[in-house]
This record gives sequence, structure tokens and C-alpha cells, in this order.
Amino acid sequence: MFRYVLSAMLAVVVSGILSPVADAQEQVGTVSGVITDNQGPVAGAAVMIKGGSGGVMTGVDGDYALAGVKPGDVIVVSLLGYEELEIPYTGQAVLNAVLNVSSEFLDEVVVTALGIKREEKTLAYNVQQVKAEELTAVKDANFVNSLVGKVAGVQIQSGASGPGSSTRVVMRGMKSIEKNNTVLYVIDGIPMYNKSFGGSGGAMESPTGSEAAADINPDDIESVNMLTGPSAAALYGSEAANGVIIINTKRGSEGKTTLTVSNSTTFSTAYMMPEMQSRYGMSANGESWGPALSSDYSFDPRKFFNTGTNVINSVSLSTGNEKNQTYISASTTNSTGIVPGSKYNRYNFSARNTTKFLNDKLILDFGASFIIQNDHNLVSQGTYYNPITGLYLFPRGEDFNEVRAYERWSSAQGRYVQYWPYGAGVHNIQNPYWVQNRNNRDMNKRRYMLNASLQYNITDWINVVARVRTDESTYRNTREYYASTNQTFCGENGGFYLEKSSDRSFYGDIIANIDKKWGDWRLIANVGGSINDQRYESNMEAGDLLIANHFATNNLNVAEKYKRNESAWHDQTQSVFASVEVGWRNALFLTLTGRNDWASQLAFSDQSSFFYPSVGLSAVISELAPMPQWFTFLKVRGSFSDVSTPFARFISNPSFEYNDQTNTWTQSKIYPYRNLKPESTRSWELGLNMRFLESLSLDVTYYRSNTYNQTVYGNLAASSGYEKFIAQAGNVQNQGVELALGYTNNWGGFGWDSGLTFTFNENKIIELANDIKNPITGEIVDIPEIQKEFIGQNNVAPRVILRKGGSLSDIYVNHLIARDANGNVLINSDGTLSMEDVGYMKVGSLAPKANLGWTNTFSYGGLSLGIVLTARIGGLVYSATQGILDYYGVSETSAVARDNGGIPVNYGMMDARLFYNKGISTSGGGHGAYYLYDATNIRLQELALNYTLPSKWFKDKMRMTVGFVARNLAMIYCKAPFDPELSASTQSNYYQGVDYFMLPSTRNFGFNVKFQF
Amino acid sequence: MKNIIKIFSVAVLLSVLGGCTKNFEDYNTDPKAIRKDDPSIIIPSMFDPLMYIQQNNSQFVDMMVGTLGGYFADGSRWGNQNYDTFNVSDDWNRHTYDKAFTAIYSNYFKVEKITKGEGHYYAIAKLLKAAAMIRVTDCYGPMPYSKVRDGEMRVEYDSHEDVYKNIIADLSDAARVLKAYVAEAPNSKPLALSDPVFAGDYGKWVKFANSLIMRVAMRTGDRDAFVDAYNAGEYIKTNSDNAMMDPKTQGNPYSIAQAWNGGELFVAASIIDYLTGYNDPRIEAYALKCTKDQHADKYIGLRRGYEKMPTDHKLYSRPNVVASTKIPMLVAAEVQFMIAEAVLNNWISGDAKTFYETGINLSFEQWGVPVGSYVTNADLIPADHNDPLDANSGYDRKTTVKIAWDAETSEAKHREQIATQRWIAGYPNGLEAWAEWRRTGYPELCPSVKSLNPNVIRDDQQSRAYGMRRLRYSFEEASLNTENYNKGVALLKGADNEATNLFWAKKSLPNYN
Repeated sequence: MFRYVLSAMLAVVVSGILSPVADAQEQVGTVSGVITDNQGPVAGAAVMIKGGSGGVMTGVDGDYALAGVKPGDVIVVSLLGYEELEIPYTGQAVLNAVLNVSSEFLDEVVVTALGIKREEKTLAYNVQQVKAEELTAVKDANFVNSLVGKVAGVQIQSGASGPGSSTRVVMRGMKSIEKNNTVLYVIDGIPMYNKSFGGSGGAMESPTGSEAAADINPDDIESVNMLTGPSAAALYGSEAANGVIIINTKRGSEGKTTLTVSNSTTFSTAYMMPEMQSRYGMSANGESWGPALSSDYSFDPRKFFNTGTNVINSVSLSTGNEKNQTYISASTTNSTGIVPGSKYNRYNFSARNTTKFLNDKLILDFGASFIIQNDHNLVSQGTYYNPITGLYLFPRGEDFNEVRAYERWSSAQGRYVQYWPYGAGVHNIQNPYWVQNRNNRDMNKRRYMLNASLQYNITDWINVVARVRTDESTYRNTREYYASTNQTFCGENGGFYLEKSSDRSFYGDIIANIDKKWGDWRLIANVGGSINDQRYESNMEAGDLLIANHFATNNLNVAEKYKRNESAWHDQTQSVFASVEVGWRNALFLTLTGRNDWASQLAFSDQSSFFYPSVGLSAVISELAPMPQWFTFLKVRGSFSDVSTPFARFISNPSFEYNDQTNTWTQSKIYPYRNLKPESTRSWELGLNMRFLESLSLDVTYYRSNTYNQTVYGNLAASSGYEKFIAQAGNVQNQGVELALGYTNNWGGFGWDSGLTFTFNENKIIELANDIKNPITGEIVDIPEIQKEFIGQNNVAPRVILRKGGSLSDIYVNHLIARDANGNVLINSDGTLSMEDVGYMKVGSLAPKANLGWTNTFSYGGLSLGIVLTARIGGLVYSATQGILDYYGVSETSAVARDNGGIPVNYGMMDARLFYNKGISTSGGGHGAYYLYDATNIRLQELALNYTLPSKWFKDKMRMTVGFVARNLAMIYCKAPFDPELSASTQSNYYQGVDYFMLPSTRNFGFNVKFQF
Repeated sequence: MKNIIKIFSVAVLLSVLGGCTKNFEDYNTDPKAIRKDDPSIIIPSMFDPLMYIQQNNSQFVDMMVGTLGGYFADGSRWGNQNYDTFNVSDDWNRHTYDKAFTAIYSNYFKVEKITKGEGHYYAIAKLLKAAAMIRVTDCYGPMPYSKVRDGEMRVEYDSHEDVYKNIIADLSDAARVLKAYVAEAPNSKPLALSDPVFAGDYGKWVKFANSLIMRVAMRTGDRDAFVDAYNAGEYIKTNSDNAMMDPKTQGNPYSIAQAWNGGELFVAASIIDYLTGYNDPRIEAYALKCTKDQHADKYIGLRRGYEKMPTDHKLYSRPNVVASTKIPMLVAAEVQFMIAEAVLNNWISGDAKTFYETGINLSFEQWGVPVGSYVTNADLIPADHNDPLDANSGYDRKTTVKIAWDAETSEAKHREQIATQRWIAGYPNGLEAWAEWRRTGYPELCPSVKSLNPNVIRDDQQSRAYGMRRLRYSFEEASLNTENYNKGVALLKGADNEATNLFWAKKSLPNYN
């Protein structure tokens, strides 16, 4: 059914090319029939009279009826990807036809930059398409999760906060040391500002929330194209340097009205929790190093988690005629997470209309979307507002059922107060149920998007398109702390936090498009200008309450501990750009692009704009040279591009900084730098696309990119008076291979469609920061290394250190168990061991060496089975959680050690408590050297079993598909104690692969039902 | 058609290039932040390191390091990496050093630049810098001071003696400029609204600066500096001149910390023992009674340095503070005790007893408590520590030092009397108390219950009683300013750990008998 809608869209494109000249005078007859291909009925194929006007499209079962045919006419059947059929009409009433897949099925039209459609074979860079049915097979509240494993060159990590959580998508490796390395989202050719509540990581940070990309209704998506390289940046702007996800939304269909109603209901359960013990009881300080418990005691933290649900309902209507097409959709997404009380809801409404005027010379496309989204008590990681600290560390031997009644009446206070007799410990622990019921964190968002484009076809080879799009969101974030909440967070009467913010982006462009052929030559050119304007504003008030549990800002105590903050920014980029493509014999294509950006962030620097060019060459060898019969298609391509990006706003024009707690202004703690230059990434890629032996396809790309002039923040010793310095330097290189191997075949109705993607990336710091000129003293400084954040507790957890020759993800540890001269563990007078500072030693990298995805679709009749396997090879992850559980004596490891009489140390046994609680771990996490794990993992990522009921059961009035779907169904191999692909902070470059009381990942399964009328 | 393209391209280029970027400077200016070259905007952020009010800074510095002065005990074990068990984590150990440097200097450089190193704003910034750095150098020893300047990323250390000499020079320079300003414009108070100590009264800042010089000079044995400041006579003499930090809307951090996680700050055993032993009425002003029902009539201080907290640790006496309680930094009483000690040193002439008694009287006046016959009490002695909530944590105090000056006869005992009363009067300034305790060996603090860092400070009563002698340097100093750090450690003349004595420290505990 989606295939139908999709093909219909494509057919519109094809039929639009045919010139509509009216010439029907007499009606002689009507012909009907069924169009099929080697796999069955083909929906959406255009059937028309050659040279005539109009035409019809085949329905769901490949059926059509074409009126107004007279003998002698030629009936043309066409569909993109198939060879066009011409059948003379001889008066027959029934005309069935079989379409053959085009040998040039690579002539697939892909939507590239600025909504410009291109035949894929002309492209000099790698574009990978994911079709609607692949996206909606196993629906997720955030459609980005449905892309996992389906494209090469991309690493996608899900956020840890459950349904609707933001994601982290990095293409071809991290390029930038400080700037965001995540992709640009483009909707219908226009860049989208992806506001993300991704969190910045760390033990005391707010949890990860949702992101703007997650607002998109997956049912509205026609296709997704992924540009893993920066080549398209010349047309999308510099934000595209990290790669682009292009989302093409649905339009109305011509000549046919389709109503689609679908439901997807999935359930999620906690998966990959740390292993914990319940056989040794409580000891001092809330730890569980006490005596063995009786065997009838049990405490299973898993029982705290609910079965989450995710219900997505959607309805869409697609209708239209030759001149006017309309698409309308609505959907609801209602999710509850595995943590009691966590919710994510979204309501999407969208409409789109395309109208042709003035003899089809003027085309107006208008779209509007409205989104309401809210989430409640999402939890991701850290110690703030996280119920799982109290759950995991719950003193063993105590009765967890006691704390389920999380509040009890206090006659002294005249209200219910939190019941939690175990203290807050080091981790601000509260009753887990209290956290989820009386520390309410809410986000409410309303967003609308309007877009319009007007195209004027001046002649048949030149047109001008003007487009505008506005995207505006308002957010309301609140936190309500009831009285008797841990007073680390609020006063004794409770607390309230309110932040109202809004963002608004406006994009407008005007482009002239030329497409002209002269003999063997073809020229395609696009010249245009654009403006991209984004602004953000936020206003926050927070404090303690005067009257208990009345949550309003007019009940805030403004005399003490009252905070407020207002912030805003406004960025604007104006650009002119041009792209020229010259084609020869439809086999050789040369593309040149150039773009000049004037970015507001550059104000107050020496350079007010920057130019970036690209060049690409693509040769379809199979059309230029004789090829063996079995080798149907071979394309070689290469491209080079240089993309510049502005440095961050305000850094060329620093202001005093406001501290909302002390209510004072202070000079920046970042050492100033002048003469800032835009960052630049130069990259080139070489690729091959081939189809051979009828059923096999192979796309390979080798790329290399070098990023220069990076704005880098390095730490300074405090005695300099500053915390950090800015340097602009560096050469970070990424090189790697993207490979996609496809196989499609069928044997008498049984079809197998298989795709393997392979991604290998190597990141290397060629140059860090040499010859930096100190702007104040003029002295030349060399910075041999930049010490970035510890991914956990300072000087205990591993730390990212950037060194020449290393990578942006290298992690170092600096403490090992102290040993004596003979290499034996040094035992202190009190029987403990010590950790010894041994200086920083490199232990590995947080980044994977390679990612693999294997998608399979098996089909037989109306039955299809889709299986996606994904694998990540290499890289390390750090579990602070495991260290803390060991420290507290609640981990299974610590219980096993006790069962065994200790840990073998120096030919004897060391008491387990001394080893963990006074040795290799701390309450803030274990020492890096002992709590790093191989991140390699293989999993069954997706499974979808769908059955389309024979439409004759419904007298052809309706199609119905039912399916069983599952995501993250089984971990086949994983040595880490948590899911390494889960991201605690999708916004941070370095806080990756860290588990600090992160929620367990989830296993999701459920069913889909879809009706189409 | 070519014309169309031409016209179109020209139109696009014109529209984009034609002056549309003129707003870019507006866009790239933070609309909600201030960027005015006015020192009075940033100077207010430089007060905090003198006595932290910002709650996290206060906890990391004054409430944690400050416990070493014997006034407070922390109510949480934080995973057993604490100052009072001598094994604080690197992460926390850095704060006293790093926070002060970055809070002061980035602003100081800016003020220096705007004022070109002249005038009252620069003087007050210099005064704040010097005052904040006393607290840092007292903890660490040799450190960068005279060579700190804007643009110097890796700064050389001054020897410890030089740090103090340069601080004294800065303080007296600042005092000179401010004094001249007051003489010229007696009614002008440019920082009236933002100064949380003296509400912009520069005359009081002058007295504070001179009193700080006396404090530093006494600590380092700098007779000349002390005598000069004393003879000039412009130091804090009355309680109305006391340097008290007003927490304003942030609220007193000791009050806030009592709410954190059910209570993270308690009054220490030692101060309660001395106050109860002396039957000192200031106890009501300093502390609240125990909240355990059967002991609700008592003040019970909490021992420092537990590995495992007593079960009822949240019921011990808490500091008697509310959100608006000001925190003393340097008070008139302390100056009188310094002068009394200077007399014993033969630095100045006078009657030590008079200064000593004036100090006590001033302290009582400061706390609003009637002094009665306290000054002449010749019988009472500091109490042993008896803890009804934790029988194992008792401590038999050896000292028998009395209150009345004439009740003691030896110079050593007089010195103990001065130090003891100075310590009692100095409540709750823990960093200062710790420094003076290391210098004089007084008062006789209860040793930490446990050393969890036995490689540096042995876990025996004697070593624990001698306690921490300094803080080790911030680990970032060692890794980011390595060369200078190594030279700094050489100047320290000992290992960079908590057992190394600073030059002015007493090298062994006094005999309290």
C-alpha cells in the first residue's frame, strides 16, 4: 500500500513530463485490465493514450480502466523503474500487460539539494534512499530510530529516555572537536532547525528529552535520502557538512482517492539491566555489605519497570486530479515508558496541496503542519530526577514493597510527605515512586510549519522557483517539586521551575533552473539565493514555594534562592549559490557547485563571508564501453568539496556572563581569541555503483575528509585566571569506506530482498594546535594535547584526551592498582589496596571501528518477513553504574566475590568489600581501567512479519494488512553490562558510551494493522 | 532567455549583497547580556571568593576544607572521600584553588584593562584579589601570585614567603588609593548597592585591608608589616567595622546545606566542648540543641572523620543560622587578640591582658550575648567530648586552659589563652581557624576518628590529631602547568601531599597539659 502511494507519486513525476495536449473528440471504447510485473500486480503505473491527454493510474491490484480509446491508438504503460510499454489498441476490452524492470533502473529519481530532482546516475556523491515502507515497517515514536542498519556510513544511537527520545546521528565520523557533529535534517528541500533537548551528559544534568526531528509523522514520509558526505553542502549550506537526512513528504495523488487508516501498537520491556544481587544484606551508610540473607528474601529491581506501550494511529487521505492534488493526514502517538509515570504524546496534523495554473505553467505547492507534543517525567540517566538510583542501590534485606506507598500522612505538617527511610546517600536518592509522582517534569510543545513554493515554467527548459518555509515552536517546561522532596532540589514547601521558550526559523529562496539538451549534451544549472533566519528566546523563573504545593510563579519565594534568566539569539545566513551539471550522452556527468554565505556569526571578525566550491564527476561506464552481458550497470564517481562553517555565535563579540544563582555578571572564563576564521572541511570521495548477475548490486564509496581551523577549547590551569582557551587550529581527518551490497531475487512467487551495509571510519588528529599565537602576549604557544572531559567523576573515570596522531574519541585512564617493586599488589597497613596515579595512558576509543547492518525481506504472496540485524565492531564503553553497584555491594559480581571468599590478590584472597568499596571503585563510579568494556555487539534490530489479506475477501473495496513487529528483539553478542548503542546525551561529542544510572534499553514488540480504501 | 538569467542573477546578487548584512552586528550581540566597559558591573562577582555565598562553592570550600578548623563536621560521607578523613578526591580538592583563581582573575584583568590600573575600582579589585588569595595560599603554600597576568597561560610560582609579601604590598597599595578617594569624595559610594560587605563604604574597606595585613603578618611572623599597620591605627576596632558577608538573596549557605539530603552540616564536637566546658553563653548564638528527644536539652557536637556515620548523626547540633545570617570574615575581637599576641612577641608595647579581655568583650558584643563574669572565670576548663549518641567517640581533652588571664602564668599558656579565645570568637570562619590551628597548635581539637589515607597520615591517634597540614595542589595545575608546578613543589620543600608543613606551621603538636 505504501508502495502504491509511493509509486503514485513517482508516476505523477513521469506523467507530468508528458505534455498535455487535448485532442479527444470521439469516444469509442473503454479498455481495462491488470498490469503486473514478475512479482505480481503493479500499482500506480500510468496508463494513457500516446499523444493524448490525461490517463489513469493502476489501482492497488494493478487494475485500471481507460476510457476514450479508439482503435489505432497506442496505449502507453509507464512507471518509473520499468521499461515503458507501448501497446497498439485494436478494440479489445481487456488488455493485461507485464512490465519489465528497466535495465536502467538506476535512473531512479532522487530528490537532492533544494528539492531538485536528479537521476541518481548523474550524482557524483553517495545517496542512499530509505523508502516509506522500510520506515513504517516497525514504527517508532521517533522515526530516526527506524533508519538504524539501513544505510552505510551512519552511526545512529538512540537516546536513553525512552519513547520520542532524541537520537544521535553521526555520518562518516566526528569531524569537529567542539561543534555539533550531528546531521542536518532537510524537509522537502529546506533545512530544519533541529531543536534538541539532548542533554549535555554528566551526573547532575537534566535528562535527555525529545528533538524537533522526532515530531515528524512517519506516515507522512514518502522517502528519506541520506547524503553521508558533505558534497551537497554547496546547496544546503554549511550545516550540511556533517551529512544530511532529506525527508520528502507525501503529496496528493492524481486521479485516485485513497484513504489509509493504520494502527501500530507496540510494547516495550526493560532489557539489558545490570546484574544485581539480593543475597547479602544492608550494612552501614546504606550499603549492602552485610550478612547473608535468608533464602526466602527476594528483591528484583526488574519488577519496578512497567511494560511500556506505544500506540500510533494514523489516518491519511490522498486525492486529486490532474490540476490539483491534496494530501491530508492526522496521527496520534501515545507512549508510556518502562519507568512508571513516564509518558510521551504527540498529535500531528498536516495538509498539502499542489495546484497547477496558467496552462500548467505555474505550480503552487502549499503545505501546513501542526504538532502538539508533550512529555512527562522522562528519565534518562544521572542522579537528578532519576528513580533508578534508589532502585538499584536499595539496601538489600529491606522490603521494597514498603516504599511503594511513597507518601505517608504527616499530622505535624498536615500533608502527605515522602516516605524514604534510607537517606539520600551520595546520589541525592529519593523514593523512586516519589521521583516519578511528586517531582513532575513536563514539557509541552506546540509547533507549526508552513511552506509554500511557486514554480513558473518560463519555457520547457527553464523555470523559476521561489519557496518559503516557516517553522515555529513554543515550549513550556515545568518542574514541580512537592514539599518533602529532597531539599537539594527545593525548599521545604516545595519548588517550581518554569521555562518558556520559543524558536522560529524562516527560510526563503529563489532559484532558476535550466535543463537544456543539445545533441549529446545536456546542461542542467541552478542558480539562486537564499536566506535562513533562526531565532530563539527563553525565559526562566525558578525558586522555592511560599505556600506548599501550589505551583505557580506568583507563589515563588523571591527573597531567597530565587533564580531567573532570560536568553535569546538570532542567527541569519544569506547565500548565493550555483550548480552546473553538464551531461554527455547520458553517461558522463560533470557537476560544479559554488556557494557564498554571509553568516551573522562572523560579524566582528575579519571575514564577513566565505565561499565553498565542489566538483564532481560521474561516468556510467556501462553506457560508454561494451560490458559483459551479465554486467548491467557500472558507474564510477568522484567528487571533491570544501565546506566552511562559521564559528559559534557571540564568540567574536563576547559579553559579560550572567550567573543566575549569584545574580552577578562576570567576565568570561574563556581566554579571548581574535582573528577567528570559519572552520573548513575539505573532502573527497570515490565510488562505484554496479549491478550485475541480474540480482546483485554493489555500491562502494571511499572517502576522506580533513577539517581545518577548528575552534577548540582547551583547559587552562586555573592560575592563568581562566578555565579554558580558544584556539583555532587543527586538522582532523576522517577516512573510511561505505559499502552497500544488495541482492534481489525471486523463485516462483517467493522473493528475497537482502541488503548489507558496512561502514568503516578512521578518525585521526593530524594536527592539533601548533603555532597558536597568544593574542595578548604575542607569544607562540604549542599545545601538544587538549584534555577534554572525564566521562564521569574527575580523575577516576576515563578521560578524553586529544593528541596529535590520536583520534577525537581516544580515552585515557590514569589510575591503576598500586603495586610494589615485585609487581605484587601493594597492601596498606589496614589491609586495603591503593590506587596509584600512573599518568595518562591510552586505553582505546569510544568510537566504533565498523558498523554493519543486514536487512532481509522474504515475501511470498501477501506474506512478508523483514529482518534487520545490526552489528557494531570495536570501541569501548564505560559503566559508572557497574562501579557504583560494586561499591555498594549490590552487584551480582560483588556477591559472587563474597560467595567465593574474596578476590584473588597476591596468591591470597582479598575481602570483596575491601577490593571494591575501598579499592577499585568509588561512590561516583569505578576507576576507568577496571570499568571499561568492549562495545562490540550484534543484535536482532528489527523483525516485521506482515500479511496482506487477499483483497477479494473485501470485494476489492479495501486492502488490509496485519503484522507482528519487533525492534531490538535480541542481543546476540554483547560483553558490556549495558546497551552500548544507547546514548545518555545525544548533544555531547564526548559523553558517549557512558552509563551513569542510564535507563536500561528496551525490547519492543507489537502489531500493525492497516486498512486502505 | 539569457536576459532573464542575467536579470535574475543580478537581482539575487543585489538583494543579498546590497546591505542586508548590516544587521549582522546586532544579531551577533547577545541581546540579554551586558557588554559595557564598566568595572562596577563585574566587581560584584569578585566578592564571593572572600567568603563563599554561592552554595556549591561554599560547600566545597568553607564547609568542607573549613571543617579542619574545628567548628563544623560534614553530615555526609560522600562515598568516603573527605577532608576530615584526609583522603579527599582530586575532583573536590581542586575547588579551593581553581574557583578562587578563575573567579578573581578573569574579572581582575578586565578591571585592570578598563581602568588602566588606576583609581578606586582598580584598588578595590586589587584588594579583593589579595584577600581571596590569602585563603588560597594558606591552604596550599607557594603559588602563582606576582607573575599572574593576562595572557600568561602557565604562570611561575612565588615562594610562599613572597606570596604573602606581595599580598601585603597589594593590600597596602589598595588601602592607600581608597583612603585618598574617601578623603576626596567622602560621600561617594560607587558600589553601594552591590557591595555585600560594607555597602560601598571604602573607609571600612581600608580598615579591613589593614586588618588583613595584620592577620597575614602575624601568621608569617612579619613584624614590620604588623607594626606599621598597627601604628597607622586604621584597622577594625569596633564591631560596626566588622567585615561581614551578607548572603543577600542567595541565602546563607550554611543554612541551605542543613536542608540538603536531610542535613549536610553539623557543629563539630570541639567547639561545643570548649563552649560547654567554659559555660560560654555564646553557645546559644552559635548552635542549636540536639534533636534527639532524650537529649533535647543538650548541645552535642559531631566528631569529624567518621568512616561510618553514627546512626543518629542527623540529630546532632546544627549551626544556628537562618537565610539572612551574615558570615564574619574578620572581626574586631580577632584584631585585639592579634595585638595581644604581638605584645607577647615584643613587637609592640602594651598590656596583653587588656587586649585579650577587650577581644572577649568585643566578641560577646558582636554576638549580642551578655558577658557577665566570663572574663574573670578562673576555674572552668574545656570539656572532654562525651557523646551520648555514640559512646565510642569520646575524647579525653588534656588541656586545662582557663579563661581568666591571671589564672595562667606561663607565656605558653597565655598564648594558648589568646589562641583559644581567638578561635572561639572566630566562629564560623573555618579556613582561618584551620590556618591558625596549624600555626599555633591551639585549640586542642578532637582528632579525626579515622584516617582513610594512611599512606600520608597514619591511622593512629597522634597522627590524626596532627591532622592535615595543607592541601595538595589542584591536579589540573600538575597536568597543565607542569613545569612551574614542579618548581613550586621544590619551593614547598616537601612532598605535594597533606602531610607537608607550610613554613609558618608549628612542626609538632604542643603539649596541652
